[in-house]
Amino acid sequence: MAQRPMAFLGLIIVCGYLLVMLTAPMIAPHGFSDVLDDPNNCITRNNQTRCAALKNAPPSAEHLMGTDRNGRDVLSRIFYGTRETIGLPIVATLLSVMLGTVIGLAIGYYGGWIDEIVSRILDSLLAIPALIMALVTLATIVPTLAMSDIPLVQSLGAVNIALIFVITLLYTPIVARVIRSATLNLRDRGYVEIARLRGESTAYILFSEILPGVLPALVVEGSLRFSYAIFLVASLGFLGLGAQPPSPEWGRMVLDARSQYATAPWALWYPVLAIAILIISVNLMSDGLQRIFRHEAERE
Amino acid sequence: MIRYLVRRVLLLLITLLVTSMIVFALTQFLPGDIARLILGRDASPEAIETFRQEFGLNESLPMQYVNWLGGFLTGNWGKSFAEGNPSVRPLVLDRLGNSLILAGFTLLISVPIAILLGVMAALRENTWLDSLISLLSLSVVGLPEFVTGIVLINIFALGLGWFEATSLIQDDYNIGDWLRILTLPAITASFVLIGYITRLTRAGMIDELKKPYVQTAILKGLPFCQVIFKHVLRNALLPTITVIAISIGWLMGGIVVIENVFNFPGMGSLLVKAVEQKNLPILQAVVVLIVFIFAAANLIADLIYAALNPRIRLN
Repeated sequence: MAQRPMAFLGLIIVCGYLLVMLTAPMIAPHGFSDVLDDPNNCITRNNQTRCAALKNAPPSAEHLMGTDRNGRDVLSRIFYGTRETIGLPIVATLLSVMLGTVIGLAIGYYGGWIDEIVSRILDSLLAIPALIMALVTLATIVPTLAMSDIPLVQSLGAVNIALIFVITLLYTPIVARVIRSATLNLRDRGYVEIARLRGESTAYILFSEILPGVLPALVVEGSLRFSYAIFLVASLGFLGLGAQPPSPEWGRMVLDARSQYATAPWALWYPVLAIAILIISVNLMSDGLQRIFRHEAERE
Repeated sequence: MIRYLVRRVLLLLITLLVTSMIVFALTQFLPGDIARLILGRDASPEAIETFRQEFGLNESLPMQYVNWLGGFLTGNWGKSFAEGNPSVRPLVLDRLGNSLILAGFTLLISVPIAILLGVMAALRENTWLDSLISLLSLSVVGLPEFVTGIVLINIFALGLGWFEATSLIQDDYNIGDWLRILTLPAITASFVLIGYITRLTRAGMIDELKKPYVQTAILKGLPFCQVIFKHVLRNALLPTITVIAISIGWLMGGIVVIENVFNFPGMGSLLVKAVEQKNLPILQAVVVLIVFIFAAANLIADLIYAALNPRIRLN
């Protein structure tokens, strides 16, 4: 990794973002939906001081990235936004990698009619462009979820659960196909044959003998999926069909700030910058991983 | 070849049928009464009943699907839920035309640039030029369309005033007017395509350049340009050609975000609006059309590949 400075840089920046995500409540100066007071615009009446909201304040020492049209601190919103913009893709990527691996290993190893049927189903899921599928699914399951009283949905929010579900649905088939073809290359290797003759269980063969062999493909595919998932969550937020106000998800922030561009350009540029740097870093990291594993495969 | 073709076309039809069923089924998950959702809380029971009658919502679900499918196949795509209930077909086809113009213009810009960049990167493999091109194709190009779109609007439309920030299309537009509104959305879409096609062309070229016939051609004294453009590129472009066909399908999805950034009156912006307004007749027609173009592009890609590479034809 150290011999690939750009990939290393990408990794460091991604780790920085993750750190912000984990510590957002501690390092954010304000809450993501707190409306800040304008100290120059207050009235004291009956010993009660009431202030107007500090709307569209330019970046300053107190508010490094300024405030938005509702008088909320942009920096704090960006910090909190990591939980949706990065957190949701992480959860969805992990889920689809796990599901896709199990399915891919199983159909690749068994082959035959199971492989044929499952592969056809996976293909049909891939026949619809991802964004279109996400739009239609979100539009229908969000209202349904919003009316349910499942505790998990209530605590995480219907949109977030729906986003995780949609991304997992979209990316599991892709991961499964990659792992299937990697498994096909390995299943007739000598060490797998020996394990079979030793009388090991199928689960043991799949997870202890074959899984380590497909791990490089899995890591590369996982990092690619992560990058696309960030892309998808932010794009849906921007279309107004993902995160809903007052959510600080970055795509949503960009959408909300667009109409105020003339008065508060900082409310638009900082979330745009945050997402641009994040995606470039993830791409550099994943390209580095691909090159490293390809290099190793060639040496073999 | 004929059998292969028939099989693939059949597969395409089945895909479309299944997709239309999935979309139809998904829309049934909407909680509550769609008629009340569209007409609002204050609608009278009579108005709701009339609406249900008019759109055939009182029939059983399979019956509704069969009615819709029959209408779709015979050119009667139904009426929109929106104000005035305009007919779906002319509206969607009009938007489809605009989207196809945008997609075509995008391909016109991106394919030549991408192939040129890919060839340059391959010829200078592992030099600073190669690194620069791959860094660019990973960074600028990998950004979400709304990010690149907004940056381009602010620089070239709001800043320099060269192009329009939003795309209003009028009937009396000449080519100059079209260029003013098409250029920025097309450049935005090109970014992603250029990155993708460049990387594939580079990889194809590098593989091809290592083959002995290239050495032979150079050693027998053919001009370098002729070797590259007449011999190597022709073979290296094989995967690229299929990618271009697939890109047309990809554009149908990617264009959704771009059309919304620029308010471009295409299928993508129509789709998002239909989703927001729960306008099911429009939603179904647009999704089925997009899936059709997506699947047809993939089919054409496979056919071109089979035609150029006889070894896979019989599979």
